[in-house]
Amino acid sequence: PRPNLDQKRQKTMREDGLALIHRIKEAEKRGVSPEEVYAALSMCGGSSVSPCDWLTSELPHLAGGGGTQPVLSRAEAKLAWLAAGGDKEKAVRQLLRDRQVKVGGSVTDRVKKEKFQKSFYVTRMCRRLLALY
Amino acid sequence: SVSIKSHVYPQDSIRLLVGVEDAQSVDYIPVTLVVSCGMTIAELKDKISQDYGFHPELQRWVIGKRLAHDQDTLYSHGVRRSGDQAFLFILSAHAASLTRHQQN
Repeated sequence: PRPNLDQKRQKTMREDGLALIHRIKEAEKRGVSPEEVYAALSMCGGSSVSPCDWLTSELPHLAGGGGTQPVLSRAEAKLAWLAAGGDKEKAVRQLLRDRQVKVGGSVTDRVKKEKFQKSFYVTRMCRRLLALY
Repeated sequence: SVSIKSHVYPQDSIRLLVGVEDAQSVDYIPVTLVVSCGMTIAELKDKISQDYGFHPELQRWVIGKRLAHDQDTLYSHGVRRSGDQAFLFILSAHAASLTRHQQN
């Protein structure tokens, strides 16, 4: 046995699990289900961004952008822009359309396919996220 | 879909550490379960239901970075030996009924 590697593995498993369960706990307080927050985390593409903060932090990137590289994909930018305009239904439909058209782009990179097989789930997910704001 | 027969997994019992939380808990309650890596999450839920009285529908299992599905095995989530840690979140009955409603 290799004790150091195994200790590291166990430590990572514990820390990752603790981080996720804390997100789930906070999400329940806001009326978001574990499945929704987990799916949102997949969309965010990293554990450093909280799913609830994701939209608020990304929306400002759309306002002109300046010289910085936009963080959002085109589809995500549209979604956020339309959401900022208040038309959430349109934003969700646009996101789904863009996702179907796009092959191998950053939307599909971020969105784990096995979690979004059913587009109605994505629709509901986006609605719930947008409804937080 | 592919299913792997249970005899492929190590059958030895291990002590799985489980941190139990709900929305009200300040910190997790540590519990130790004797399991085998070939057990599924569904089997784990039944075991917890029998031992602690939490209905399977209220249980959400977190192992590492993942929210585990009923048909998954512990092994598929990286559980290998004693001292590995999983977490169990207990939904409030209200949250559970909302989740059920969303899935319909």
